[in-house]
Amino acid sequence: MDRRKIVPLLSPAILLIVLLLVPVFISQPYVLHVLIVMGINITLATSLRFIATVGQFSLAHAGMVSIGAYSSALLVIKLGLSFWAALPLAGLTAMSIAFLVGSPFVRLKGIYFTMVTLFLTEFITLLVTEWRNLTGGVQGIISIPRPNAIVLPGLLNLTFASKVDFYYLALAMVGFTLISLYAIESSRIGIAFSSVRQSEALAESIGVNSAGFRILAFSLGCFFAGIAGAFYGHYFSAIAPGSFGFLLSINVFIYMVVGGLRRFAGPIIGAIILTLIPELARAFKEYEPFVFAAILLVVIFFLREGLISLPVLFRKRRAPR
Amino acid sequence: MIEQNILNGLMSGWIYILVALGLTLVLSIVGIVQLAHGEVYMIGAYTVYCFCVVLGLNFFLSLLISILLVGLLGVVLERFFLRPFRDDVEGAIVSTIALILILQTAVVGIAGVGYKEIPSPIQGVLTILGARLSWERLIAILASMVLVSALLIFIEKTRTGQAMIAVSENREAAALQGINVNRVSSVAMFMGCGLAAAAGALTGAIFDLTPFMGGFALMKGIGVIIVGGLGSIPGAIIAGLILGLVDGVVTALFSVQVASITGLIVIILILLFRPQGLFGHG
Amino acid sequence: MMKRLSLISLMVMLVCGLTLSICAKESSAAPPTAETKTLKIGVMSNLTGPISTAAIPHTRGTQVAVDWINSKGGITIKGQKYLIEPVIEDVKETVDTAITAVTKLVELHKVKFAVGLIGPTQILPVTSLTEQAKVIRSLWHGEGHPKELSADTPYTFRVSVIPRDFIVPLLKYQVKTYPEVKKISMLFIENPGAAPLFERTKKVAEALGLTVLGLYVYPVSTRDFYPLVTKVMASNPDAIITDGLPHLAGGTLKAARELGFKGPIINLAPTCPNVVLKIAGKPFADNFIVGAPDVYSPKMTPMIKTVRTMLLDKYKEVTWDYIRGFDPTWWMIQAIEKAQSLDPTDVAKTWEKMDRIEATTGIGKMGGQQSYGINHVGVIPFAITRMVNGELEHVGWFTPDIP
Repeated sequence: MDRRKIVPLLSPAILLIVLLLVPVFISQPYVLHVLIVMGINITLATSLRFIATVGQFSLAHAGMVSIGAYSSALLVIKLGLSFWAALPLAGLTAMSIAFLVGSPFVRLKGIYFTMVTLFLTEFITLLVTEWRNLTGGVQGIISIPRPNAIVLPGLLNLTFASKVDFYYLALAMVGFTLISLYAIESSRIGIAFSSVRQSEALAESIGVNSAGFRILAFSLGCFFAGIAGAFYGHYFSAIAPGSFGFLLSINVFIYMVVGGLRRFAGPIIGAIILTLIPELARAFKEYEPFVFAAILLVVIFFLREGLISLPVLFRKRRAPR
Repeated sequence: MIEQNILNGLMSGWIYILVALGLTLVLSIVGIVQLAHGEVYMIGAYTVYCFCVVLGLNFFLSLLISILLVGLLGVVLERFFLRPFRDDVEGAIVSTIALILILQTAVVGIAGVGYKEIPSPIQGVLTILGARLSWERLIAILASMVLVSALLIFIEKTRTGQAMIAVSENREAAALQGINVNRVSSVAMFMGCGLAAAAGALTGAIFDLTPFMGGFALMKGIGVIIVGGLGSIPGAIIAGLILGLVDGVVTALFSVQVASITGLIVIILILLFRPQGLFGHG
Repeated sequence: MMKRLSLISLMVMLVCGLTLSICAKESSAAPPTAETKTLKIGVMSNLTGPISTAAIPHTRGTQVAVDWINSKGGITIKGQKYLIEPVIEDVKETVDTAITAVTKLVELHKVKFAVGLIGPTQILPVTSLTEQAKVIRSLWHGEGHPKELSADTPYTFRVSVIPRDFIVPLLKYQVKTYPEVKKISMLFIENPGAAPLFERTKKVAEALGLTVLGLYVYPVSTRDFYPLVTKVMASNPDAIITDGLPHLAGGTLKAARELGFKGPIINLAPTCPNVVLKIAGKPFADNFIVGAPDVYSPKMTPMIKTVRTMLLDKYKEVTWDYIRGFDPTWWMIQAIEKAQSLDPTDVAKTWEKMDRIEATTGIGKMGGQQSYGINHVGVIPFAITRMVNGELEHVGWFTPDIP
């Protein structure tokens, strides 16, 4: 095979090996922690974009993370379930609530849909805060147990006592999310999403149930937000309603846009870079927001299509006129 | 007690109206999701603090200066941070979030994080129909009413005001009629930010100032606009009073939390069953 | 899609490279000189977000404490001199950001001693990090949750700063000064500590012969107190008990007086009376009692006056929140010096036995064995300040009730 065919095929394999070997070369727990947080953000940003492929911007992601986190924590603590059962159940809970709530909301278009998702997050936060007996109120839930250990004698010994194990779990979560979302988007469902986004009227005219696909996109996207929420709870071992508010929804939205809405990989890059920037800018202390804001402005003004469009820019410049 | 509750609600309501009016001007005429509107409100308060407390000028003079200066700031912000993202919702959100961070952090750097106070121009408490309110609250209500009336007169009686209505209804059609949309946007931004500054300063005189006081104003403003209808001034007034009364009366009857949930439910119900708002265009 | 993946893999490797480089940068600390070494103290502070209003003054108090200790030559442990170096990390607003910042302090900076943290929902989640790493933590704030300070937290210490510490002396003062007050209502911030605080205050109040009418809870974002105070006044209490931040206490006071409430208002939290006065405004600043000093009063202790001067020189303003940041750091340093060891376990064992520690408000000692199961609360004198007709009156120094 010629070189141009080998490199693209090799890259994913190299990528996977590099990612799997990271903990071998990096033992500093703080760095692993940042990578884990990055994993959560990637999951959230890509699932938010998934909802956007059908043409709707959701600010409900924080609320869904909250639902996932509380569901998983309560299932494990109050009902004694294993984390491995609670995790998918948390995703399903978020998905069900998204479906229930999304159905009446689906006739809202554009900014109205976004507004209602914003207030949905507020509502969930308020509900969680006030339902003290169930959720622990403002303090939230603490001492959420680690995921149950996976022991395969000779092969695996994941006790989740260290960040390394959580890193692999985060990697698995990101891998599962990316593969699932990419598969759906590449399928005929994805084509239907695209048609609904581009022109709902036209899509309807050829028999595409636009409302149905919009609810599907919203529910599935929120499923992954729920999964991320469950991971959050068992990794940080504490959740509080204040952690899942407007700020989180907006941050995930920004990761998506700054990374690039149009490409699948956009939110991944956005989440990576925008998780790193605040960490690298810690030296600025209380002026760190200036740095973050500067990055946002540079991207939104000069790279409107997002960071993912950088190589396209280079290619355009290099291409002969 | 019920008179006190109703009066409390009306007081809150007029402040919400002021914030919402400024925001609705920006949203419907400039055409931008101006998430940094709360920060403009906050800067209005700090500007009055600067002129009134630090420099010792009269409160009302400081208020006027603040409205003008912050209005001008708004025009600059619109030109450079907002206009490029007209009709680009995602871009506007990112740009205005960046603005929020910049404005908040700048005020933290310049004025510090500590609580500041703007003393009321007239001290004392009044009793109206069996309910009590302080002078600064009464001034806030009256000033809001004056500003709202001025806005209504401007919209009805001036050509620019009428142009603003045209732009808010259909920007392309307005442009085709020869209206300079950019100029009208700037005027709307000036007025919207001026109103926000006034709301911030008046609220600052009642309560206190912190660099983070804007978030509350933004949420209330958006809520009022949703219930009243985007671009509708009567809508903002009625919705502001409704939401204000909910906050005043429901809190006293039940609790703050119940009032918050009630307010949210009203907003969500409107979005579900009448998304254009009570007075909005269809 | 493959090309995109190769782009991503390039970026991932770039990321790893970047993070490795932060790693490398941070680990190379300043080489110690032959004569003095540095002792790193982690400062977990909410530098951004609404909580920064309280946390930044505390951070400044900590900085001044460090400067002051260093100006006297630092500390000497077994003949080796150490200058204190504060390492400040922003915990921001949420549980996850707090854990990120503290992870950095504990794992990257490898601090063994830390002060800080105001965020009510952040204090507990951070506990497991610091306890597991055996990092001594001197708290700036507490919520009164049983897991915050207990026999299970041998490395966590706190000076007496939470409302719970002040209930008994404040209510006793109220009963003595206002014998006509018989019915009280409580108006607390919706914080994790509200319900237990109410229970505890109710018990003490009823033991003193008072009737408790009820508890009203409000979110920390509240600004307009008219609706809430109207509701509280409806049941006609003789006095209102509050807790918390200056703008909330000030807002409550102002609203109550404007609405015609004449009875005393007592704030259980050590909230700076100077700020409350400013926010409520002189006309309404009357009959307000709080367990914190008027920092400008001539009756302040020499140490408070010294710290006040240092803070004014450096930051041009001072409130009790600033000075409150001084003691947790100062105490920790005194404990380290007394233990003559940089090992946190040794320091913890020494600290919990200290019966004479200097604080800005006077001489204190460690207490709390009975109430918390561990002798880790610094029982330091506190001031009761009374607002009368727009002026502050320093009533005197009292001892918190921490058996």
